[in-house]
Amino acid sequence: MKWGNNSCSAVWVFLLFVSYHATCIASYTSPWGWECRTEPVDGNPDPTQVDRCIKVEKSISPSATGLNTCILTCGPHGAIWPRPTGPTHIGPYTAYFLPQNIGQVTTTCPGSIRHYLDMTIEVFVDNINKYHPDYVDGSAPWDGPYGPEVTDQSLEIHIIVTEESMTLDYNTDESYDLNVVHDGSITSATITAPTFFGARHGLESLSQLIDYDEEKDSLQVVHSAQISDSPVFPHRGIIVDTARNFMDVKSIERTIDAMAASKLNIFHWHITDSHTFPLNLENLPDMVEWGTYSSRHIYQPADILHLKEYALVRGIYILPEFDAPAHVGNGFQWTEEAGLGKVVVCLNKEPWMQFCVEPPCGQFNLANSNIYTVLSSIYDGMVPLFQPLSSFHYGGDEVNLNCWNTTQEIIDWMTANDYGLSSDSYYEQWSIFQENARLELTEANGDVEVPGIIWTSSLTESGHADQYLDPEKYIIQIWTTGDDPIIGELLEDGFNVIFSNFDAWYLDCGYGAWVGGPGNNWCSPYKGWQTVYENNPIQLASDITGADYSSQILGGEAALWSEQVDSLNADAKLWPRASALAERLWTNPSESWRMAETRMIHQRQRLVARGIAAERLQPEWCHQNEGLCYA
Amino acid sequence: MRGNFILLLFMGALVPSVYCQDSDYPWAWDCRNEVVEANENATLEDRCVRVMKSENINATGINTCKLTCGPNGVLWPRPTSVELGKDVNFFIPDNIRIYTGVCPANVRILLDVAYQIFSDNIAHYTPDSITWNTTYTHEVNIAVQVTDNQEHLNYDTDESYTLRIISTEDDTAVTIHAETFFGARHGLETLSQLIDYDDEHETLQIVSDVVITDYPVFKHRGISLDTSRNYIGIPSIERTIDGMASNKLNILHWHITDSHSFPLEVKSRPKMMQYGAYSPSQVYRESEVAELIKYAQVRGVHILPEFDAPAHVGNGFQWGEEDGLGKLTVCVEQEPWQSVCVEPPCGQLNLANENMYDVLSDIYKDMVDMFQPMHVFHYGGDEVNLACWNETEEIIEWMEGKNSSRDADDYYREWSNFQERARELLVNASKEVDAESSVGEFGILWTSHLTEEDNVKKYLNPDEYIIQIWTDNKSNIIKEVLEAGFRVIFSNYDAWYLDCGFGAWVGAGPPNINWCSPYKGWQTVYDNSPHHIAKDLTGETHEDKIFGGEVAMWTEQTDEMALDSRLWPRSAAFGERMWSNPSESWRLAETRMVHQRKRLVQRGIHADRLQPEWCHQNEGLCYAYPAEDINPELTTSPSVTTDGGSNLATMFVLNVVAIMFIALN
Repeated sequence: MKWGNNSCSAVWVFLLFVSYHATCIASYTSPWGWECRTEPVDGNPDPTQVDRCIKVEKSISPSATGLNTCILTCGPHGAIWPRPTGPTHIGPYTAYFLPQNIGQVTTTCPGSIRHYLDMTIEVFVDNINKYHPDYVDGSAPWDGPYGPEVTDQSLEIHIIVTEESMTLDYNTDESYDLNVVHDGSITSATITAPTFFGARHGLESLSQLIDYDEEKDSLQVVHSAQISDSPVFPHRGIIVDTARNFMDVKSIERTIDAMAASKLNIFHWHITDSHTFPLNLENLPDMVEWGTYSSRHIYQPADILHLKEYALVRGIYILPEFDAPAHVGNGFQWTEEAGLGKVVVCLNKEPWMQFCVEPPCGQFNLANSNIYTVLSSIYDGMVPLFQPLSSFHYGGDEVNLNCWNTTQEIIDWMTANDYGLSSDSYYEQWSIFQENARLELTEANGDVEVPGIIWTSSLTESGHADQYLDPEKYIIQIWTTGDDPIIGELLEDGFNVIFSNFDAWYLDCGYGAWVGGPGNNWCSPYKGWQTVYENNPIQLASDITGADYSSQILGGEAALWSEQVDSLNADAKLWPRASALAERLWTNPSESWRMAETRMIHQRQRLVARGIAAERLQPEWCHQNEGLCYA
Repeated sequence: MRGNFILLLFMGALVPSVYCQDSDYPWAWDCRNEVVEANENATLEDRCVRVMKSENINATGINTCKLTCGPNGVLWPRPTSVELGKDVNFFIPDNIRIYTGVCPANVRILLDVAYQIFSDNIAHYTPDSITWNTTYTHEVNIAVQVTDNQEHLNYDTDESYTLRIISTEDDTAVTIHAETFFGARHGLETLSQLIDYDDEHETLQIVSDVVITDYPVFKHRGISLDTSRNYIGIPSIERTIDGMASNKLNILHWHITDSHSFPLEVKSRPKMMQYGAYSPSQVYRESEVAELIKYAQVRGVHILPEFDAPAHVGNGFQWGEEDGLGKLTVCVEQEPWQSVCVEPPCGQLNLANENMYDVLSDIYKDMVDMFQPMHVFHYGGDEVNLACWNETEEIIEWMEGKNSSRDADDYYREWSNFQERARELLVNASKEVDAESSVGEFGILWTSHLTEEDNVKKYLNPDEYIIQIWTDNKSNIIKEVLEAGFRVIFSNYDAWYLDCGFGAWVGAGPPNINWCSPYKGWQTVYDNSPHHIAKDLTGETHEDKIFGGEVAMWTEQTDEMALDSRLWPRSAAFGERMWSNPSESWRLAETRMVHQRKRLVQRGIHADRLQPEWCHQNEGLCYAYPAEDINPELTTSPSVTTDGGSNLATMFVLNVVAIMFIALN
């Protein structure tokens, strides 16, 4: 059966994108308003009184304001997240203003950083425009009509920075002072900070003294505030994995935006793994050609340079990781044809359970000295993209000795060199590899040594860490449980550490199994924001050791391993839970999450306003009825 | 014979992608018959295996392989009967013609919209803006034929269709025959899944020869969506309907209101929305609902409205006293909430206030008008808290005034009286609009105290109600209602509640997770079989009484931001259970499932990732099976700890060192 053109009348239908939202329907005025009142905290064993925004009928309480006005000004910390650590005063009133009425902006700073301050001010202006519910692509319709109570008001910003360093490392002073005063028609905000990074945080706090006003369709700013603030921990990070699944540049930018909104400062980038090698190294193009999922899943050098700058302007260092000697595989298939022999062994080997912790397997071939040729090329390619390096992550986790010990080439090499085939023999060779890797990286970095970070592993276990690793050269990132005695041993051995204990700070947990099933993934259950918030590294260390090791605890990272994450769902898995981490690391609060709940909910709303698809923690009713979602 | 040709124009996405050359890409795929790992029966199955292009001349692009490999290709849900050719033809969209054959005129209009949806769907397969190579002249001619003039889906709708594809070198002829429009649109959906983009030729491709006969096992295949705890915007509901259409789901059960908010515009009672919506921008206007119903209809989806009562009401009713109607609801936002409801805020209708029925009647009338034609209605009816009523002075006095005692049974009686009056109001309102309305036979109620033990027989008539089961799969209530003769819909929370497994939202202590944790993985969703559950509890499958099921998306912790990833692709797993009711486990569906997730993403749905993309490119290698099957010593590791339900990777990750020592020794 065939149908010819000439047998029927032809109707041409053009494909239209149908929108049902073109028509604007007349709105009504909500009967509700909010009032800041001091009330007991329900569900809190100690009957503290706190300030809460209470929903009331406007007709009964004429002084009630919009919800945002109330939230900005209610309570000792308003809607600032993370909570400032120094003396803080938030006034009870706001002044309206429009973004176009940002008046004088002055920057007093060394000339070399003025450019960065200008860019971070642009980010600030964009952020406050984003509070408008109809913000799209860089602009918001501030259409009014506005009365003089809005149009006569302006905001001035003065920034004073003394140091010229644009390097973020463990010695960077991120503190700032923010002073907001109001004089009739001008709200004036002054930020004083030793470094660019502190000033940026000050602008972030200022943006959190600002919000949209629903009734006036305007912005409003708390017009009297003093904040003195600095972080407790210098390393406040998120680790994102782009090897199990690819995350596009846009979603990495969004992640950085959200980090900036919570004053996180380290974007630890687990770029590669056994699954893929998505990084295009111009000096070693074979890696990406063999290693990427497809031509649409590649980070070009220009992408990296762009992201590095994007992050820096937002007060964030991109910490690159090249995980080795395990967690390598796809990408290295070209080496035999190229005459370098097998650089990776056990690649995609089955059954995977015998040779690695998840499919696909792969580890460097210790018996092949060409691994160092390839490794040094990888480092040579990476360093210019990420420099200046403040630190580097060597990975170093989950080496499977059985992989090496079932590979004939390695067995022969171990035997021929009289190294033996015991576990200790392999640990010894692994540690030699690690030292060689460190030397190669240092060479690639122009012989400038930088702190190296490695994951806890068999090499950091009891009796191994002090034998194989130098606490002067390595920081250990802890991913075991928070009560693991290893933590105590590492601290007692003098290592500086970063916490990512999986029982609180692994954000990929709690979903369905991805190998086998039914049932859920290995680190289930899901870590609720309360669990994330209450995970206190100093407390964990002291519970294990009975001593105070706070000087060796640099901070922590929430981890988003991406077996079940990609550009589409990363926002919801990271946020707002990583904001809970941020308050732990910036403020290290002594109170429980209960005291932070209403600010946390509002921070989630702020993230959404800024374009982050953060997860909902509660019904909106709880946002509108502060303190009533207790149990 | 009259017919229409529809020429389809395609709009590619406009994102340029100029990374490395595709010609450098070293991989290709080959369909091979291999052992299914971890399957106790050691079944052989067709799998797309990744190979080096340079060493395998016959290997193809990944999509070509997936379209033609295995008995079901990448069709989801699996058709009732299918024969798939092993070849594809490459073509460009300009060369598609769609032709409507014999067909009632009213259905022709619906089909024209369905063709646009079809063309839009396949347009989304092309990854980037593309210039089609017009030297590909292969024609694809699609003929659709429908006999019945039914426009609205109900429980009698025949959703079956047949689809045939035959091809020559020059052209492909596709015929879709269906009794109703709904069958035809399912046929078009299936056709869209026999087509995909090809990276190598930069064309579309279609499977060369196909014979499919297909119809659903269950007639009620739904998603329950709550828009009260958090507001869900219309575009997100549309996306949900798109996802449903992609999986041949047919009922969007809309839990519009609850005690938290009342976002629905009720024209006769505008204060409901004004007092009840979270904000003036978070509302559903009558006109928007009308458009949404049409949007769903052409995608084969019926919107089933719920007005939950007499509990789960509250916000929206606060104007009653000011307007002289007295308290319409009681216990609203009463504290401490734990004593009068299951979650904050509380609220129940005030049984003692006759004015309440006037307002209820107005709400029903407006809903009946909005949701025409209404063949089924959901009364809610869950989680009534007797203490609320029994602690409210007005209700106590009312009970005493009737010389009624105030035992639980007295309140059940009053609740059932309320339910009967509510039913009469709704059915009467419905009959006024449509005398033929079947809504009197198809009222739906959630399982509750009223459906327990003796209550269900005493208070509810099986000819009037369908019971939606939300207990776990072991509950005696399931047995009770089936044996009492009720028709049922399954939504047992231990498999089909998609909101489970996240953090606690009413403060709690560790482990800070919500009440119905753990999370229900897609495998759990897939394996949940209503017939098996019924048989385990009663000894019979009760196929005639089990209308189907719904996955439930309660939205305490979901709004537009994460809605897609909660619903999808798990609701696709549910879709195959409902349509195909497979006797095999999820394992045999895994590769198709992972591809269906990808398809949903292409269609603009932010579906959750189930696995590394490596698993999509390396079919069948993301398995796990008990360690003893590969190496018995591994499980003797002294420090192995497994937490219940977790997969085996736990022990490997946690105890890799211990395992390695043993392996070495």
